[in-house]
Amino acid sequence: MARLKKLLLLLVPPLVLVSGIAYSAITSPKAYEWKEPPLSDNSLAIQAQRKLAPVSEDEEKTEGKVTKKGKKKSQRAANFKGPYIVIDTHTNRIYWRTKDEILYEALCSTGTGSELVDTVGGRVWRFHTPRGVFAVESRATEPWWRKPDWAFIEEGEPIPNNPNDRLDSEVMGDYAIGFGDGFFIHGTLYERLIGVAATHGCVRLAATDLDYFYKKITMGTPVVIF
Amino acid sequence: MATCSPISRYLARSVHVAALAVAIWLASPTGAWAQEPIDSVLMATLQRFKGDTIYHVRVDTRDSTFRIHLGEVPLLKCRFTVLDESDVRSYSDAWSEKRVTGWQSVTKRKVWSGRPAVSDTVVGVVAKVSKVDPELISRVMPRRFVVDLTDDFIIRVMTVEGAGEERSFEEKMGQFQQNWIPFMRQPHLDVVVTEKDAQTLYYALEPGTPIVLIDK
Repeated sequence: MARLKKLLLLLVPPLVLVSGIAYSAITSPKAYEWKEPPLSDNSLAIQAQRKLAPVSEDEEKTEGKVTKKGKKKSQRAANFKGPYIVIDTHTNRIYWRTKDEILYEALCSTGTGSELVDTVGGRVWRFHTPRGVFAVESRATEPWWRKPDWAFIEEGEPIPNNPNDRLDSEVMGDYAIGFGDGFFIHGTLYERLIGVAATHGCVRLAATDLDYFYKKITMGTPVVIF
Repeated sequence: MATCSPISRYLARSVHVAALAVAIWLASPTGAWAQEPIDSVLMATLQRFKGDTIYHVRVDTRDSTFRIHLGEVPLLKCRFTVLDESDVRSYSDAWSEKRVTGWQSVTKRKVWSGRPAVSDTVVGVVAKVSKVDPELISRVMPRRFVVDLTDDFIIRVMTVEGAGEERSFEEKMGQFQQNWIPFMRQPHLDVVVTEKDAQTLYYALEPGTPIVLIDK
């Protein structure tokens, strides 16, 4: 009996210890709770997986048609023989680079990824910066912003009937570089917010950086956003 | 972020290893092991990416860089230092054994340690000006994180700043499994990068991103 007790005394503590560790591994909260950032609808990773996934012949045909028709003029025009712009929406950085080296790097602000619902008309806007390959389609100095409907809805103001009431000469900085679909690289009144995802989809730069990019780009310069 | 408990992972891995052993035993007499050289598979993989705008990350062990690409267009390059050079060899070997498609995909990311990339004050101001949820615009500067790939491959990324920080229980358990329990050992690559590159990599390696390994 005494031997059995000794044996139990030897066996039980390690057993309790091991089961305790196992139990805590299963039940204890993580020492460092982490919230995974949500994948946006225009995630390039998701697009990549869709392209890599095997598809049936019919699907391939349909997808091919959609892609061909859906491809924007700016996306088809991009060619990478010279320098190009790269925008990292995750870390809010913009690069001017060639295939071999980065020539200039700056902080920028990209889309928040938030959503705005027009409670009256039922319209929904998602403020993502689009991802993919684009090209510079327009260049403007001292640009004016023609405020879209959402800008008024967001402020809780009535949408004006007079088109001139939509114009704002202050907010876009010295230059605007259009890369399609109404998206621009432009300046801002709030430079201290550069580096944070804070826009409605456009890319905001500090005045000096905007000046650099404006002087470097030409029509057709590729803009790659990821 | 859903995670399996170590016990269930152990059981799953044991079953997996047993099934693999049976598969090896079944396949070996037929000579099904004859595989084409790694270069041709890699070339075929890159060929598939070429001309298309597939967003992917190349792990280039020749010059120790992560290369973020969109098709053939280089976007960013992040240099890394390998913690243990012998890991690279075993990682490459395991990769070539598993290769069916030539690439693996990111399945999930786990941050072990990090700090806010933007101060709460700035986030608060931006949230107020932009009228958005502060959580949407806050970003984290990860200092130690792990990226899980398909076929049980993992990449553990650490910054110099993060090396000295205290490890979480979950990370300690993961390290214990890696070091001491053979059945639970996953092919791993432990690398050190700068803090800025860690941030870029963490967000660039979204779940679903294809990863290509370029071997020495």
